Amino acid sequence: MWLTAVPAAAGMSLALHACGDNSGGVGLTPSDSYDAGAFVDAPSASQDTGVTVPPPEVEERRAFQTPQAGGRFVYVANPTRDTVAVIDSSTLAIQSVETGDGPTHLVTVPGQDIALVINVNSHTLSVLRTTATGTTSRSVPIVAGANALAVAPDGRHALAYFDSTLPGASASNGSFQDLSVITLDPAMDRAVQLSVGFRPLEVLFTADGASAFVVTEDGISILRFAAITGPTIVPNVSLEDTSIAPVGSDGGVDAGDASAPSLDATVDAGLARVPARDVSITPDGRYAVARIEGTSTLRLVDLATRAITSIDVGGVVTDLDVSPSGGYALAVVRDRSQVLRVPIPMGFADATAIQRTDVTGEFVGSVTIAPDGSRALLYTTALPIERVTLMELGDSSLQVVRMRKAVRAVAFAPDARTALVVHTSIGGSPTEAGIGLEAQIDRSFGYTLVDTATRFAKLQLTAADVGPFAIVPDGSHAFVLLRDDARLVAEAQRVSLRSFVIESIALGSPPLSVGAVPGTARAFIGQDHPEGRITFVDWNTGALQSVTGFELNSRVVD
Amino acid sequence: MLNPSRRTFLSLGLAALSLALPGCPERDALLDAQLTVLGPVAAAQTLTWVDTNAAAARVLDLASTTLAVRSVPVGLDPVLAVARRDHDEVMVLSRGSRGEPGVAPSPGTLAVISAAGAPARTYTVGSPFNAVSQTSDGRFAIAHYLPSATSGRLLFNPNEIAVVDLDAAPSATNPARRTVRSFGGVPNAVAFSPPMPINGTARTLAVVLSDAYVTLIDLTNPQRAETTVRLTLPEDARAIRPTQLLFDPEQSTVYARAEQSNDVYALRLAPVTPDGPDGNDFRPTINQLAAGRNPSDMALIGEASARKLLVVSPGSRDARVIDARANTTVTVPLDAVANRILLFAAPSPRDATVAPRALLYATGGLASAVSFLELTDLDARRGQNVETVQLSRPVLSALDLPERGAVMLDHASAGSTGQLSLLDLARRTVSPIFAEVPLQGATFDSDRQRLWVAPSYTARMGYIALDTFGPGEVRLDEPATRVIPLPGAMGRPGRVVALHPASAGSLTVLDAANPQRETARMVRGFLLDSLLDRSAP
Repeated sequence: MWLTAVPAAAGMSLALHACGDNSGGVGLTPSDSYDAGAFVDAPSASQDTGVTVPPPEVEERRAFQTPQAGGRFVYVANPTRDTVAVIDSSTLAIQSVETGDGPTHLVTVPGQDIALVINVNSHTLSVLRTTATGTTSRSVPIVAGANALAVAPDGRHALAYFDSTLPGASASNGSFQDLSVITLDPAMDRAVQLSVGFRPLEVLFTADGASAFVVTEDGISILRFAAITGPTIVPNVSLEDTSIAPVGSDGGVDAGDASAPSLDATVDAGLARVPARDVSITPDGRYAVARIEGTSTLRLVDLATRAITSIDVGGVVTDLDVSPSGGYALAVVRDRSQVLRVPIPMGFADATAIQRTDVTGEFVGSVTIAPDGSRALLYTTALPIERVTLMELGDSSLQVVRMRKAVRAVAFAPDARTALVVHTSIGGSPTEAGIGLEAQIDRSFGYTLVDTATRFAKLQLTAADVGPFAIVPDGSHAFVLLRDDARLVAEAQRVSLRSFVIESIALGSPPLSVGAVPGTARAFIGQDHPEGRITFVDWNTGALQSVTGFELNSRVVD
Repeated sequence: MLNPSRRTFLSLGLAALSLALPGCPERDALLDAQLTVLGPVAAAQTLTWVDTNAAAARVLDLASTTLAVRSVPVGLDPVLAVARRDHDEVMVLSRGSRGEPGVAPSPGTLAVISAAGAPARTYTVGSPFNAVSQTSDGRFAIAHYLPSATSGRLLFNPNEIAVVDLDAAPSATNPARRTVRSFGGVPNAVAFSPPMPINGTARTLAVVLSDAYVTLIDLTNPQRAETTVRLTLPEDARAIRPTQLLFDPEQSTVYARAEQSNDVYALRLAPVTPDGPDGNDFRPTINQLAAGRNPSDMALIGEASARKLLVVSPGSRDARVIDARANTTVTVPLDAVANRILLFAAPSPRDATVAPRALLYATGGLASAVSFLELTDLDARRGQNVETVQLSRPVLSALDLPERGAVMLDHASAGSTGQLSLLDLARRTVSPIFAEVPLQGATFDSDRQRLWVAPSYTARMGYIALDTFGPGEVRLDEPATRVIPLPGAMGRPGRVVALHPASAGSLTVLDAANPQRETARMVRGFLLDSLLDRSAP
């Protein structure tokens, strides 16, 4: 079995929010008056009224990330053969490179032809470096049970850890708190084992890659790479009530930073043990911002001083995003249909610095900020509302964009000129006799392309649920995967984000993953095939080339 | 068989020709020597036989008024004589000699004999090969071993080959001898590509077919290493045997079909930067295309920008159209089983436009119907593009007659007599041709104007004109064992030669366009020409 590489987070990552349960118990059907474009006052109310509250906005993080490739090569792990296929996207030549036992979880270093793969049976990590002359592989020991990798933006460090939230994650023994820091050095890769807070959920980096922040249930573990010299305990900066002693907080020191000040934050007993959500780090690594699920509290953590500042924004915060510059955060107060622009750190010290924007007549609970910080999309995934609101962040002006279906997820193109909105389906056959057009649409899968300048929207219904997709770095095209094995749907769609013209690409086997290879302007579509299959698409011309049989290809001899 | 092998071996005993010479104390061994010949091989208006013991070719010029015989020396132990394609020359492969008392060792050679009488060229291939393959234009030849080869030497390397540039004079580097990389197999056959544009220059590739792998050799750059492409992994026990190749120069792709494989292998030749001066500047990438169960024939259809592969499989009542770029397949249902594909350009009964179409049929007596396939918009129309034509009898074999826009179908014979049908590809009509003799050995003349048949039990040769379906026959002086058509050239008419089973050589030459006994010429004894000049074995 071939496993396509899991991409490292980088500039192309798309923040997507998705609703896992559309019914929400609110008794609304998609054919209600939303289709007419008229807003129906949502049945939201505070919890103490006894009125049903819409489910929380659910953020979905899956294959909507950086393309699974380096600059030119694509990497595919083969756990059964203990090899990684290194595919040249230019020539389609394939090398099969031996790794450790059971290479499974693989990421690439953004923009470089370097791949890291966890060998799950040998508890090692192989570092593959590819040049025109071939690929070298070097292994270092890492913590047992690791199933996740995160690579710093500068490509000099990576973290291997156990993410219990990943599909198939199993921790029958061992610890949830072990983590390996790998220093990526062509001369000598090395790994150091650290102990961090309970259950790492996410790893974030500063823009310069000098520090990592491991978000755990206990708080944030701060790793200053330059100071890490050997195994150690990494204390947490808690996001919770500081009356609960953070694990390992005896000295309150960062890993490798013995001089860091001790934890000294305000006590907020009412929030004890409430898990934090939407933790974001400013690009300079100075602050962490978090919301607390189901509360009106926002927290700012000064990662240098460990000081925590909490503010109450007056309503439950259902989503929180930090701007690309890190200068402010946008918080959505759904029950007030209000968006708060909170300057960092000023907004946490002076409530008057917070700019509040009422999204009058709309029901919004989620926000997605464009990569260039120019605008944001406001929407809800909790109710089948067929509208999104475009917010210009320069002047906070709002424009409503009508959808034809309820929203499941939203992504901006890197250039922010377009956005892709993935829709939900209410189930049932869209071809059932006697149903109207609205019902047909609501029962179908699909997505909408939105031109953010003109607010032109184009709905595209699909033969199967919208699977992984990728938007190429220049924002000119998107590739959307559709798969339904029962109905023999195996298709990719090449979407021009300039004309919104969509080209269907029939595939010989079900698609698994998609990504872009910037160096050759090609998208790749990894497919489910016993001998490995990948199709490359020139995103400018649409020209296709497929390779099947990675192992056979690797054995071409000349 | 409508297309008999070009090679026959005729062993003649000279004992019958020996003269009783009472009183002679010593009998010359020459007189008891066996006369074993290869051929004849037609080139222009000559027929060439090779006297294996004499190591000499006898070239009979049928265009000369005297029917002159020319003797040309060739290497020792000649084993093969074939015509050079697109050239009026005959190639004779000799294995040389390992050395015997009185016989010095000599290397294997490939002699090229001109029909026009120019001096022969002899290329030293070195080893005692037993097979020669050549490009479609006759530019290159490769001497190699077949799997069943024995060398007659203590040791030999079955993967050795010699690449001969037949347009160039023999030299130290021509032929280029090399050993093909092996994964345990030996060459089964060698195929050649048309010019394939790679990195901006056209290349002729030799593809050596071995069990479970193929080897690509850039004949344009023979000093470069060969490229070996495995078709199975080492642990795969299947006897994958490549049997058919298609070349798509516009897409720089080679398609290989193999026995015991349900996949067709698309080898795309991607340009790469050479590793060194002798490194290849291309590298094949493999794309395995699911092609049904044991595909039996394939053909490329569509424009280069939308090239697809049409595949048929025995026992399957459908054809597959495969997009090799995306690995997608469209299945086209058929009314009749098909295991062969013939592409042709012709109008159809409903469309006067000359367009690419396909005929799908089954050989081996599997079906008594054929399918015409419209190739336009095939993905969408599928079965709508199929027209089935019923035949009176199952098809045993078929011969494409493109210049006639027809296919000659040989039907399974219930007895000793045969039946042919001429299938008109445009009108889609079937014209039967009955024969009262077996059709094995029947042959067309060079321009496919007539079909000739010469049964061995009667001194007659029959023919049928394919334009008028008018039959005729000519009485000969002796029964014929084989009919050989010779093309006309330079104002000379085409000829048909009937070979007779005479030990010293006997044939009758007829005008192919107007075969009459009155104008026929019979020649005897030409194999004895220079008999007394030959050395004893």
